[in-house]
Amino acid sequence: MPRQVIKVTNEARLQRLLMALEQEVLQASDDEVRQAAADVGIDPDMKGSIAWVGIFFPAKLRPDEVFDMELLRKRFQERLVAPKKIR
Amino acid sequence: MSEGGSLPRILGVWSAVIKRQTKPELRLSTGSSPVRPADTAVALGLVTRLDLLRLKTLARLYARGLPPDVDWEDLLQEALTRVLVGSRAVPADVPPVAFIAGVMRSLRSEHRRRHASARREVMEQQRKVSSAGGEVELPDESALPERVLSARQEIARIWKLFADDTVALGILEGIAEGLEPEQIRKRLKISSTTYGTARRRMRRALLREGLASCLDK
Repeated sequence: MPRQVIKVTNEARLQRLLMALEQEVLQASDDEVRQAAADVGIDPDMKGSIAWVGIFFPAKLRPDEVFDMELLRKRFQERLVAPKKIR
Repeated sequence: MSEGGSLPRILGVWSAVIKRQTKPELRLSTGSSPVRPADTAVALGLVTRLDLLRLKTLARLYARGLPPDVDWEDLLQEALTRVLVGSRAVPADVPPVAFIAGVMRSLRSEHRRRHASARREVMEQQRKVSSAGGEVELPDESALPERVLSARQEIARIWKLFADDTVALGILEGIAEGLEPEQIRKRLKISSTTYGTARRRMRRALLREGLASCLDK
């Protein structure tokens, strides 16, 4: 009797891989996390460590995280009402 | 990647430059840095700081193949926020870190669905325009190889992570086919010790990948 061939889609293969890799990462011990960090030259115990980019501080800054947006908005409105003369 | 907080240093220089500006609207926001979901999650004891690195690794893994307007940081912060505000309640029998990982996985599917649906709408509109103009109709979206190609590319990227490790690649192939660990060991003719060691190598490679190049997508 011929063997039954089940065609597995790439989507299904990817889902299985992601699930399995998720489990691997979740099961990694604290030591393994520290060792992997050390491999790439990161010290997670440092407060300003690059490891915390995207976690405790943003990888991409939004304007409101840098500027006072309320004040900027106010100034722009003032300029719109009374534009300065260009010399 | 070099360690030593290069980002804070860059921000410090930037901040100094901006502070020298005389116009108050260009000065740095006077408020202290906003509290992020991760701060709250750690303060509440929901996750540890090392758990956050595990989640970051997973977020980077899941963000691959997503539309360009969504990145790993969005996935991670959104998942943490949903759990913190209670829109996704952590079941008592599931470790919070595993639950948050699940939320990120579900967000990934959500983003992919949304992207596919938006694309279908565009296709539909284009099809209507083409039909009205008597032009050739576009093919149905399901017939496009885009989704198949995207999954294939993602798998190829995962393979690349373990390119030098033939045992790990064999294990991954088995997992992709839906085999159980025992079946994978038999197929690869390896002992449980070799299997376990390969899995440890895989974990470390994944974490390295997740923690390195922190500033790219």
